[in-house]
Amino acid sequence: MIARIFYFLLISNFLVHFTNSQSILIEAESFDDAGGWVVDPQFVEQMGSPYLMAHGMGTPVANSKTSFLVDHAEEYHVWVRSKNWAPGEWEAPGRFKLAVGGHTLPETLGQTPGWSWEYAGKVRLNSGDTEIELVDLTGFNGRCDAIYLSTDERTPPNAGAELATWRKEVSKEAAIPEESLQFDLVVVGGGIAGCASAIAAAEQGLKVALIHDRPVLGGNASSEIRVHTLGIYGHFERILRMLDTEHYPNGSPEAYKDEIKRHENVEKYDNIHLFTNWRAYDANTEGNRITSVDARHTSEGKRIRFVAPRFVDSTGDGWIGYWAGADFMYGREAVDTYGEAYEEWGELWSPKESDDFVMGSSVLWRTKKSDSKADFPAVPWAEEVAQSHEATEGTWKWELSRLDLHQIEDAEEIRDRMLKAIYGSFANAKKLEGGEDLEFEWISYLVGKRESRRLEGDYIFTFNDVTEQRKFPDSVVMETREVDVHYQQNLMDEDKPDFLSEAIFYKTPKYYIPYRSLYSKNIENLFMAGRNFSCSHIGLGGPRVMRTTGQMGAAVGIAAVICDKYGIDPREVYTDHLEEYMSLIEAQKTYNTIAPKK
Amino acid sequence: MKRRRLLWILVITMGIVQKDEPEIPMYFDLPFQVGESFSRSIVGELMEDDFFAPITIELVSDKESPKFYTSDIKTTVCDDEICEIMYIKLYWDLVGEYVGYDTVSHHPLTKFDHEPFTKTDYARLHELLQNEGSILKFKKKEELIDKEKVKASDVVDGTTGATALEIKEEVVEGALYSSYTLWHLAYNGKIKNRLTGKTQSLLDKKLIKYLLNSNRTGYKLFAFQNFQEDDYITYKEYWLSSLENDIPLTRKYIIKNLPERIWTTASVQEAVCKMFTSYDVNTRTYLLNKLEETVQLSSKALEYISNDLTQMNRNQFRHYLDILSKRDTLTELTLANIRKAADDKSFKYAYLIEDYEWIN
Amino acid sequence: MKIHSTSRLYIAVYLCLMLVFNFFILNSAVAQEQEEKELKLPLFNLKNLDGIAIQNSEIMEKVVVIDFWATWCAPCIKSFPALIETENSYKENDEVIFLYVNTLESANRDTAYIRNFLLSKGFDFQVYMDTPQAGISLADQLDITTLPHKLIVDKSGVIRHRMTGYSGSDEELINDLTTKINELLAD
Repeated sequence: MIARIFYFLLISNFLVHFTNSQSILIEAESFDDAGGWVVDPQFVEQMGSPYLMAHGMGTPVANSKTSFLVDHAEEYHVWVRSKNWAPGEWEAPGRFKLAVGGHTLPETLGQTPGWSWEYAGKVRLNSGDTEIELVDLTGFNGRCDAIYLSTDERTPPNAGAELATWRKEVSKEAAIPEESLQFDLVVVGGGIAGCASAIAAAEQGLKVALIHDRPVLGGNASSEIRVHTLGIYGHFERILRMLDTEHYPNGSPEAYKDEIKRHENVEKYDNIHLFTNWRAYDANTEGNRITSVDARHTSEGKRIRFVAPRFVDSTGDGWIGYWAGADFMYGREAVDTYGEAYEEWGELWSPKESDDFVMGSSVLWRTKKSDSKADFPAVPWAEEVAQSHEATEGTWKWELSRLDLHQIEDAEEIRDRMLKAIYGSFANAKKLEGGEDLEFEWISYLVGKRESRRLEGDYIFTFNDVTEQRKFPDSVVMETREVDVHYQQNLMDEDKPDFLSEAIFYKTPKYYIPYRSLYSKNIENLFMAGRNFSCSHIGLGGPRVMRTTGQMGAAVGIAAVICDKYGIDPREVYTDHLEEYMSLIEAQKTYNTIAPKK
Repeated sequence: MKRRRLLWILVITMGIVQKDEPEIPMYFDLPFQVGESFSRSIVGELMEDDFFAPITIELVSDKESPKFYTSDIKTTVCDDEICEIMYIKLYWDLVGEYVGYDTVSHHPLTKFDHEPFTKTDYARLHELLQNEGSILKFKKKEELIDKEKVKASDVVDGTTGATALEIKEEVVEGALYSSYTLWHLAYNGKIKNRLTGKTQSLLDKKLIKYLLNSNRTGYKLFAFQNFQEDDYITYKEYWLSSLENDIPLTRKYIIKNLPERIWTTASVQEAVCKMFTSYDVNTRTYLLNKLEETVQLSSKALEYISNDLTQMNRNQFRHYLDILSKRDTLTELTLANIRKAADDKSFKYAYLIEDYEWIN
Repeated sequence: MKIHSTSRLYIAVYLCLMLVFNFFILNSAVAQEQEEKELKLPLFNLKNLDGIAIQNSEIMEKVVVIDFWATWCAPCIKSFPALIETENSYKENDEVIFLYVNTLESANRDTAYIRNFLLSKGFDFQVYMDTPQAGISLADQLDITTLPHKLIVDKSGVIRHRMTGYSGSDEELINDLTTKINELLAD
């Protein structure tokens, strides 16, 4: 808080000098026509804002363009916030140029290591509508966060709180969101867990907001990441069949078909208010209660304050809990903390001392044979990662986890490193016999995460609950799939690339997860469902697959209905209304109509 | 007199003729011959629900030390149409890792329709059994598909999204179920635990020394995992050498388990930090974490690391600078190295140095 | 040393004996195979799950179908319905007898387990246990190493057919058995 005030004063001081100057800030993601560029909102918390990226898989993409109003005809300095995502002794891979008012500025952008304002040049503009375009030069993930034109020659702040405050000033953004909407339940995160939660609650009459930062629902199961759903249905077959996927090979375009089904099913509910392309950025609290969640449109920049008595955090990274001050865990517990040894695997399964290792992230990809020879440029910037590895598609084993990389703080670096692994391995495969006609079919640009923050509930689900097949009075989720924990291949052989993993399977009969793992221990009106539920690192090994997380979502949606009926908090469903809750779960199995909205 | 000599000749020739065939396993990855003078003792018997017969495990030792474990196994193999009993002799090293197999006499391995294994098949089997990461690990027996009529590219497996073709490439052709059964026996967790438990019970100074002196990664790690505090002094050369050359998992173990009183001597800190360049990325982070928590830290040790600044990752570099920020005694060379890195145009993280005022 | 002529004779005889001995061992296996063609069903004494025994005398002058099986052998279990159906088709015929013999069973599956196993699958036929006598089982004597394994024995006790495995087709198995049994009945 103090820091914010400090920065505010610093910036206002700074901006006093701007009173005579003209400046225009354009957020790249708000361009009217994205062209071949894509909106990447994954790293807002780390680098400040969604950005446009030229994800051309090596082929330059079509220009993105927009127009803006110039009030005063002047000479403007132009900066572009960008970064060289693969710095080193070679030409930066993500290079692009800027064209303003029809004139392409000579500076090549995407050259500085670390997000910063790169000076693009000076341009004389006439007043009125002016066109601006991003011209991709390489097709290798050049990225543009924003463009700033100013008659003042001082560079804006590069990063962090300073930049955030400056941004608000320049865009003259109000302190709080412009719009406020009320709901019975706000579900943040539209993966399988979030969608199941929304449906389960909406069916029983709740007015639900489902907020998701991508245009399509499904999270890791969406067509943008394409991991197939695994696990069993438990009590929620009816709902999960609306959302799950066939067992296509990971990365297959068959993901589209299931996505269409998913959207039809979610959208058929009038009382699910779907907010795709909206990304939550804060949770407001009063004491230990969340009063509202604020979200911003990922390209238009508009904001909404979502008000509700209860919230579901199915963001994967546990953002709502994090912003609200919920207790959370990250990393591997020591084996003796909960007694989670799997003897023959030792350290690879569970370490003697706790550490920050978690399971890693995947970026899937596919290639195909083209009709003719397909050229691919040299990618020296990818070699240090891929080395001599060659491949023509990614699999679940393409997984990056490293002790010095945090799955949230360093997610962009993880994604970029996987891109280097992909481009480099593909380039190596091209050099082999028969590789001349190989070309990319698809590469994800979204990080398929497996594990990061786990919010703490009244019960922490651990390996013992699996090995002992514990049955709880509040068992709401069940699973038979193996407990599946990964380790990096380079732990056993340092010459292996750091982006490959191995799995350890623990076969088990049916095990159960209690409702008490699905609401926050200290934030009174917060549910969680998905990989951010209350569990140990090994505890997550089994239930992290998407039908299981889907069960969690549905269980939480039903619990929200009980809460709504009695005006109570999640914990009280367990303490005071358990029987009714469990009966409602049974009852919804045969539900076949959509409840009317309230 | 002559008769006695004759008797001796007869006795000797009988001896040569009657002598047992020396045991030369078909495949055996340990660097010695199975000698005739090796002694055997029974470790125990294991019986699981899905075992055909109890598995008896033997420990084989020579005069110097225990050497390996072995078991003569009788197990069943079925496909959709027919079943048979399979005999095999498996060998594991002292830490329960598969090192070889042999067929049991009169019971060669066969593929279905009783075709005997070819030499290539036997070699392929050993290759498969050596592969700890085989796809077979993830498959349930019911999930194996062995129908010629199903096109490999159409079939997607249950757990890993691999195709039947990938499974086919790993197993012995025509012996899918035998391959599966044998792999799961070679990597049976209960057997492994029994073996490591036995080795642990046999540990004495002599055996620890034997394990440390071997070239086997598993042996060395096992020795370290059973070190008492004093062993870190007695065997200093060994763990320093492992820090430099061994696999990341072993390095991590050593760094995390160095006893307090050994770590808090300047010479040890310096010896460990001096090898920073040879450490893999994760070991470097473990070391940096340890340095962060160490109260009495040799500034020479920190200096050694400063020689490798340009090799660090972004977060590690920052971490290192954070550690330095909390120390008041930095050597001249440390500061000089940092300034050099700041000016190095090819060092991608030079820009981070700007955030630290005490450097400038 | 000089070897006396009589000593040389002893050595020569000794060496010849060694050669003959080894040759004999190597070839006995071959000899066994040649005898197989005319193998008679060995004498046996098999007890069923209740301990009641059956002996060769009870199956004399009959065409006997013996099905060797084990609980761990999935194809064995799958072939039971076809066997039972064939058996039923000869219900009226005293000259045909079907024996279900459990052999090569897992070490920890006892008669109680086998009884429950069959009951749970809905089979109630008589099962005989191939328990080793003096260390040798019927399977040993008949060189049975694969399952399911069916023998068809003619009225004079000679094993005329050996069938291993189960193709998956009940119809095929029924037809095959019926043809073979009828042939032997006609003898």
